[in-house]
Amino acid sequence: MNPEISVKIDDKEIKTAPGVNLIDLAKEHGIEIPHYCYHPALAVAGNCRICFVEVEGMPHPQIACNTPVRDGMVVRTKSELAVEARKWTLEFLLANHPLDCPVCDKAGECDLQNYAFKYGRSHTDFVEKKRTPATVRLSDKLMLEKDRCIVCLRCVQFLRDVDGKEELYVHQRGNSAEIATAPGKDLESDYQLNTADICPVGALSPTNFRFAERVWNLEKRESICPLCPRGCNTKIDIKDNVVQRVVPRFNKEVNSYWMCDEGRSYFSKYHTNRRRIEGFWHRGEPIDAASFFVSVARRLQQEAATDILVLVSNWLCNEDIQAIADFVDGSLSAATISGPPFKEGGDHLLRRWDFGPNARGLRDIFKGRFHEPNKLKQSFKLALSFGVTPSKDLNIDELIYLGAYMEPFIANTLYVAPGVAHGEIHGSYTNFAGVVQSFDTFLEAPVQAHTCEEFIGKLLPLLEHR
Amino acid sequence: MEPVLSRHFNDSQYRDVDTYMADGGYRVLKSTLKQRAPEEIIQTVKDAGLRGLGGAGFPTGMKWSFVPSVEERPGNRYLVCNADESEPGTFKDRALLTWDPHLIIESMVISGFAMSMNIGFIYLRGEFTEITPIIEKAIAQAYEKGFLGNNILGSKFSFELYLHRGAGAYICGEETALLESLEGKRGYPRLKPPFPATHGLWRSPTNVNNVETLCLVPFILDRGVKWFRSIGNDKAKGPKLYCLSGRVKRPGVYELPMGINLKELIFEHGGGIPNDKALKAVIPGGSSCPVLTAAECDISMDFDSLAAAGSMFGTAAVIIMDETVSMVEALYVITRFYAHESCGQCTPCREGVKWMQDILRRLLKGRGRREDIDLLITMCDQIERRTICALGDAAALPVRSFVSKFRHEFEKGIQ
Repeated sequence: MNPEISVKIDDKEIKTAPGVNLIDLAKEHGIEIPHYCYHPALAVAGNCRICFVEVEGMPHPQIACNTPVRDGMVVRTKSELAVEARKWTLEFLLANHPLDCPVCDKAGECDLQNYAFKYGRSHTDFVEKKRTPATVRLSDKLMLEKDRCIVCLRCVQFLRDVDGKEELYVHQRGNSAEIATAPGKDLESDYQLNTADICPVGALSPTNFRFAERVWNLEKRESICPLCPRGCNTKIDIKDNVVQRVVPRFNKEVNSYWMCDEGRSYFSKYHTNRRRIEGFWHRGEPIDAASFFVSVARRLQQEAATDILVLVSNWLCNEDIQAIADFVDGSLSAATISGPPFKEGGDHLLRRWDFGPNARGLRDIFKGRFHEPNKLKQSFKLALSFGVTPSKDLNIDELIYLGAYMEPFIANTLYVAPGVAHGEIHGSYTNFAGVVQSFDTFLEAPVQAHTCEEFIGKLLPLLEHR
Repeated sequence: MEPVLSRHFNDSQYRDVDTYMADGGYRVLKSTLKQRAPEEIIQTVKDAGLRGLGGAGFPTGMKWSFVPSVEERPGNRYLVCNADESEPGTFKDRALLTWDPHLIIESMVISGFAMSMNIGFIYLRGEFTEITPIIEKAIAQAYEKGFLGNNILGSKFSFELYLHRGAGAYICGEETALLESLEGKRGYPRLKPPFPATHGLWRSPTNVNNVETLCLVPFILDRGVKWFRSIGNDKAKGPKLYCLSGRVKRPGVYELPMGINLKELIFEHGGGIPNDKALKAVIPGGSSCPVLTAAECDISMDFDSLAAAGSMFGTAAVIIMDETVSMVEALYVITRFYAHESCGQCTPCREGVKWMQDILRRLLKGRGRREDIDLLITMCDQIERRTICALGDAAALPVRSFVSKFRHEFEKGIQ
């Protein structure tokens, strides 16, 4: 087979391997061919008919998504034949579309809207009565506006071929064709919100974002999902220092185009509604920062290091964990190091069962010095916890705690300091497969919140003052 | 012409295997398994020039030769008999299925042997409820007599045959939608390539043939290529079942040579138009074929002549319309059918055909707009050849031909 062939797309000579999909090749070389049903991670469906191009020698326009390139192929994406065919595909798609962009959540990031402006006609010949199927609830997480659906089948294909759950199908036929679940059944997939991401129009909308915001008002950031050690790459949409939406960001090695539904709800479920630790505390009484660090330093020095347990959270970034490791090496080298237990395994697609992003980074940094918590039998006079809720099985007399959220145990804790939460720090996590992924800050931390590095930075001079 | 395919029509006794055998049935199967090599059968079919009679007219022998050899592709290989006859105006396969089920079975075993297929399916149109027990009984009898199953008649050839009933979708007559349906999926036509010959049923080598096409195979093998080519005219050969319907005195299935003159078919065999009305138009090959005006009807009924005249031979389902027929209404009915039967996969067909139906309805009710007629033609341009399967074309072709040839009638519908 010839390793290199020559293809011409819109007067651009391209050398490539034979058999490459034309739509991918064009994209690689900066030539946009619009598409709805085609998705690089799904099988070619070929039904939307928007990716029409003219291929020299073919009397009719060809769909680029199902055209493997051949040597000497000449493709025109802007010829009259292609342009007219695309215009009419849009005319057909918009014929029954409600054109309700002003109240549609997808507006601003909708391919139907974008392509209509770019490739569509400026008027319509359609004067018939529009089809107006009802809006239905597919599950607690997902709504389907059938009148906006273009039946591209991406959602059906994702659930069937990627998630392996045939929970959506096409109901009825022809002009009445619509997406549906089995009668009386809700979608049960843990990955169903991906269908809303890949929905090229405003048909599928997640209930947790429906009518919430206009997308152009959101600040767009990138991050890593902290829910589990997979570390799915995410796009974060923020308004007023509150995360409004989390959607996956493509990473071939880690999460492809997908992420689980639970990961998207991380902020609403585990962050937004939880009370933060504010200020410094000593046995339930407020204490000023300066006295706090002096007292903590004094207390740490009272105990023999062998009686001290240092608990390190798997929610910390590698940089914080390294700072703790350095601190322990320098000042508490005889202390025992442990953290939260690790839960093995994961589901069929992305989700790992361990809760938190960085169990692997934690163990990689401490190596043999890290004690799995279930194997700790001895008792400790004092524990210094960096974000770890001590389990009841641990024998600890007293606790010093740096963390972000109020927990019931905190009322009786010796010393409590306000920590930062995910999103308020930058750093890196090591995912379960060993991929190190860095991320940036996208939320403002509360005023007094300390990262582990800052906490140690304030404590260390006092300890050395001994 | 001596009846060939229609020799057992209207006589239910030939549904029974013993009567069928007494009439020479399964004789060709016996001699073929004993005396012929598979390649020889394919060559004979090629030499006869048999073309697919499901509508497309693709040379059958050539289609058979696309199937890879057993050495190349071992494992299950499928022969599918397309009995999902649903094109409006077409009812020839129904007659064969009703009166001669054993002919179909015999033909399938022979054809399966020619392509080294080991499994056969008869995909029967869902609405043919009364035919189901006939086929079921015939298959059971053929198994009993050893014409189906393992080592048929002591040969090393084995062939299992199943009846599968469709669920009432016209689109499942399209061969790849049929295969999807057989696999238990929604009847969506597949993107091609790959073609069924290499990647058909469950991605295995598969051949899908029309009932009538298959039924001609034993006769070609028995009576020879010379006999087959002696029937017909200079353009097309062989016997053919024609369906006459609409405004004709004697509607029904007629077995006549390929290439018969359309006028002769209507006026001599069909008895002409009832009530002394004048002929207005004819759809020569089923509702998807472009309509012919009365003046265009002096034509040989074969694939090439009708294609040259801008229409299609299709399934030779001749729908006759007299001077009293409203062409707007006729087209509305046809378009409503295709809008209803569109699978809904490709945008132009899903949205466009229903839209054309809406426009035609307005024209029919006298609520048309001046621009509607040209709009219909533009839409045909944008539906034809813009879809995965040919249903888009099937819907657009009649619209284009009706509107172009009878424009004045459509103009009457303008408000």
